[in-house]
Amino acid sequence: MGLNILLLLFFAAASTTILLSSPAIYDSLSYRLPRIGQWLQAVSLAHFETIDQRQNWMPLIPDLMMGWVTMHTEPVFRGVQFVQLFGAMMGTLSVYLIARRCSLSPIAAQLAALMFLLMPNVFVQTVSSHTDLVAAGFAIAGLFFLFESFRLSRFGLFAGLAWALAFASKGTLFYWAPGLGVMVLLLFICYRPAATFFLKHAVCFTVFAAFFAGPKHVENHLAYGNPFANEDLIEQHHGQLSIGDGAKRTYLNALSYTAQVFEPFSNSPLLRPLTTALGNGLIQALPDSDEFMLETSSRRETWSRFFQRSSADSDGVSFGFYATLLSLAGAFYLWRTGGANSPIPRLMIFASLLFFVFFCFKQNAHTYAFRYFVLQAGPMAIAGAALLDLVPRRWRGHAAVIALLVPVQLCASIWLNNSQVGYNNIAQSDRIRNIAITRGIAELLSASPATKTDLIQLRLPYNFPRAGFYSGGQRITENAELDHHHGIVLPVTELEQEDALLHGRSFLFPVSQGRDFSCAFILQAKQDDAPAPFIKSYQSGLTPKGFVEIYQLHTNRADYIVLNAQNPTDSPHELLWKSGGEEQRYAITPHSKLPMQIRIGEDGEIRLLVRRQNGSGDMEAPDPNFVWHMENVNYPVFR
Amino acid sequence: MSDYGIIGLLLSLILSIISGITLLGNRTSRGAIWLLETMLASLSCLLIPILILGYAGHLHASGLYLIQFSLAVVSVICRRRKLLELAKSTQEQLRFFARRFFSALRPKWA
Repeated sequence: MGLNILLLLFFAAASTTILLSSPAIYDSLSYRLPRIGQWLQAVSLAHFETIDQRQNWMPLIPDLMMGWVTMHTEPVFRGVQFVQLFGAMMGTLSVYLIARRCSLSPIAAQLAALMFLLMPNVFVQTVSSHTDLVAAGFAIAGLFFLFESFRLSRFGLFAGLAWALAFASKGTLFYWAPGLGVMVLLLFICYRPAATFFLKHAVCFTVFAAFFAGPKHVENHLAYGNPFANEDLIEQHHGQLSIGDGAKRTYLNALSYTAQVFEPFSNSPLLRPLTTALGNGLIQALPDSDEFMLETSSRRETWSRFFQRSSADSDGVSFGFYATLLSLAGAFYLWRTGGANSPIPRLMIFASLLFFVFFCFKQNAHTYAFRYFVLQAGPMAIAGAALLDLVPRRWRGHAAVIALLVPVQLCASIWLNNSQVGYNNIAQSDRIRNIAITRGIAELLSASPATKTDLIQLRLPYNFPRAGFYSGGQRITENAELDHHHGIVLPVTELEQEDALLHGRSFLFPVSQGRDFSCAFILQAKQDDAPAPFIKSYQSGLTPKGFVEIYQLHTNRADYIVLNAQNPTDSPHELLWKSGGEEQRYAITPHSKLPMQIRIGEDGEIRLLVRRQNGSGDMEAPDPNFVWHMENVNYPVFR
Repeated sequence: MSDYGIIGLLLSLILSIISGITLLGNRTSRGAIWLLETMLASLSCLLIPILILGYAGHLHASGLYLIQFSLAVVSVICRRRKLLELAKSTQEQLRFFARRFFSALRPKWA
């Protein structure tokens, strides 16, 4: 009863977190949520024109579930994380049931369910907008119903249904296929059911898979000549290698992921000095360079850098040393003793191991693979919790609570220190980059002249977090050939290439540096519009000389800007500007206004220095009431 | 979210759960298995109309409700005996859990 109350508390806390937070996972903002926006806008699930083909070829079940959550309102995407929590609930129930079928005591089965939820990479995903946990929920449910069908020698509709939904949810289920195949074969050998038993299950799985996953695979095949994705992407993820290379890749990847188990934020703050030292030791054994990385970077440096992160990363937190150690010990114990009455524990451990080996063999390495490994979390939790049955019956309750202390402390630390989900997402959402971009884009559209019925064309690069464009209700297209759009959004760095006179707004992110996410909403200016430059980047800061501002402008055929300074204070101020090799200094007396005309140079850069003259004649920072404003400029929506 | 949005979501969910529960397998196990089956069956009943309408290019809320309502009605008609059995066993289960819950709350000395 006590552990069940903990489970209820967990789901209540997770639901509250989801209700109060916003989706902030980069992948979901780049291609999952935008594809939902496109589906709802086009009222169709068919492929659409886009530079980011992940929006088209990705399996669609979790996204459809998220779409259902947002389909009755404008897609602001709030609450889509409930889909992951739904996956977590299915996973929890299935872990409990499988644990019972593995002859674990009820309290050990409850502990398994809680350990599943409290594994760092699972815990993070219960409140995130990933889709891995949904797939894991279906897969673990599929495992349970499969075992149940064989155990009872009875046709089980739900085994086929759950596995079909799992395969229609996530491409990573592909790596479960060898383990599942071998497991089914061994189950047949162990239970020897009738041939019709196999036939019924095969037909059931095929029918459901054809319905839930089939259309997407057919579409992919027609579009790319491959049922899964475009060939370039498959090549990037899998490469082409011989068996010998495969063995080397398997070893290197397994070593890298083992090192990641010791990643600081995946381990309890109490154990962290020890685990980090162990992890760093393993990282030193990694080669500096090899050809089995997803991105062409040094393996050792990639993992080394990952260990130096200042906050927990939702994509990269692993199982952690504690859960891994318990699972390995429990698997050993279950292998030795658990198979006496049923082959299920051994088959589950074997299939889970095969998944890991096949994944390491087939996939090039990256630090965010651990979010895929939630597919393994169920069997690991069951194995770990099996150790509880070694404890005398009357002490099991206490032992379970003690066993949960480390995971609870660890998950609390992750909830507090994560840069995408948890406390920071609720209390300091403006400081989270991905949320700031999404909100900035939404503000850009609401500040633009585009109305709700207008069609806006996106000309943004691959992997741009586009979700914010679907929050305003405007119709969005990525079809660059359309000429009846009402405005274009493009990277602010590409404004230069636009030859026409433009009208619009821009969104600069972040304010002071890098322009990777800065974009501009533009439309052709009308005949009577005066040319007004766009601000492409902006930096400012207080220096010993005074307050400095540096603007980088796209001139938009303007020759000059008008700068109005207003001094309502009692102190005299001084304003200096530099532009196109020219330099001017102005003194602005108390309670006066001064308009200035600044010629824009070829490089488009304008530097301003503003300072106040104090009583002793020295210069210092300007008074906050002293203001200056450029008159004929398309001001950005600053963040 | 507008009021209509919430009503829409709830309606959609209720219709899916009705058809999901009705279409459940023959298993009469208690608790967790029943809940897991309900979740999977209801989700399928939710996704089937969305997929059909989505690939037909008519993913409108009204169409979704119409198909879900029809699915719920058809499944209830086809499996009415099963539904009665389920209602009876659910009632028994609820009684069983309530008894356990209240007996757990009762102080030992009472």
